[in-house]
Amino acid sequence: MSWAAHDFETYVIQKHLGIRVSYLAIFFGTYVPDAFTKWYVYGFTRGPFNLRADHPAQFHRSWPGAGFTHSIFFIGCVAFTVWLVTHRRSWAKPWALGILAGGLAHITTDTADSLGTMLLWPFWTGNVSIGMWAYAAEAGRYDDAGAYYSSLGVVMDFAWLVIVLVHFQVFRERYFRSVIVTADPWVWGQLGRVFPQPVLLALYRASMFYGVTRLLFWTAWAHIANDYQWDLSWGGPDWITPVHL
Amino acid sequence: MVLYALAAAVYIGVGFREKAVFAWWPYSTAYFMTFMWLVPTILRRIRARTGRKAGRGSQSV
Repeated sequence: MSWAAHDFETYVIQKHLGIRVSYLAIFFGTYVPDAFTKWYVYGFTRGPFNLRADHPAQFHRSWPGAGFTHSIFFIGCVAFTVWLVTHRRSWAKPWALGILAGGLAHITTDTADSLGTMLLWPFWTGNVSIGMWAYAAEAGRYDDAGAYYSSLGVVMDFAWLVIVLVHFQVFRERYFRSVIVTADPWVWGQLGRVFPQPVLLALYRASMFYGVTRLLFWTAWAHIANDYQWDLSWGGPDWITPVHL
Repeated sequence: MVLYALAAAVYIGVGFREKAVFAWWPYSTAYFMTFMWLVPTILRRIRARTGRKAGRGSQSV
C-alpha cells in the first residue's frame, strides 16, 4: 500500500483533470477503498475486544475478502451511487467525478506493492502488481510503517511530494478561491457558514500537511527513533517476507 | 511559511509521544484547521493589545 502518496495525488489530479470536479470529493475518493477495511486489517483493541482479520492481506486485497474495494468496478459503483443520490443537486456531477478520480488514483497507486489490487474484479479476481515494495500490513501498523519507509515506498512518496511541489500554485489562496471553490460552490458555501475563510483554506491544504508530516515523521521514526534497515531494492525490504496471494 | 513549519514541528513532536495522531487523517485535519485559526487569532490579539499600549504611551510623551 502507499502512504503519503495518496495525500499528495489529490492536488495533482484536480489540477490536471481539466473538467469541473470537486476537490473534496477527490479527497474523500482516495479514502474510499480503505475506508471500511483498514482498521480491521491492522486490528482494533479496546478493553477485552480484539478485532483483526485472520488473514489481513487476504481480507484487504483479495477475494473472498474485501479486496473488491480496490477494483474499478467498485469505485465506479460508489461514484454512480453518489451521482444517483444527489443528481438533482448542482454538485452531483463534480462530486461523482471526484470520487471516481480519487478512488481510481488510490487503487492504481496500490498496484505498486507486492500484493497489488484486484483492478478488474468481478471479471477477473487476479491481483495486478508491479511488486515495487513489500506489502507488510500483516506485520501490524508500526512494522508496516517501518518496512514501507525503508523501501522504495519512501521513494514513491518523495516523488509525489516533488510532483505536487512542482504544482505549487494550487496551494495559493487565489487558486483556492478561483478554482477549488468555483468548482464546488455549494459545499464550500455551506462550510463557509460554519468556518472562517482561513480555516477553509487550511481544510483545503490539510491533505498536503498530513502527507508531509507523516512522510517526515515515519521516516524519522523508522530510522532515527528505531533501527529499521534501509533496502531500496525492487520488492524490498528483504528483512520482511512479502505477501503474495 | 513559519506558521506551517511550526504547525508541522508541533505535530511531528506530538507524534513521537503518541503515534496514534498519524494513524487517522481526521486527527491531523482537525489539528491543522484549529492551529491555522487559533495561532493567527492569538497573535493578532497580542499585536492589537501591544499596539494599543504603545499608542497610549506615545500619546503621553
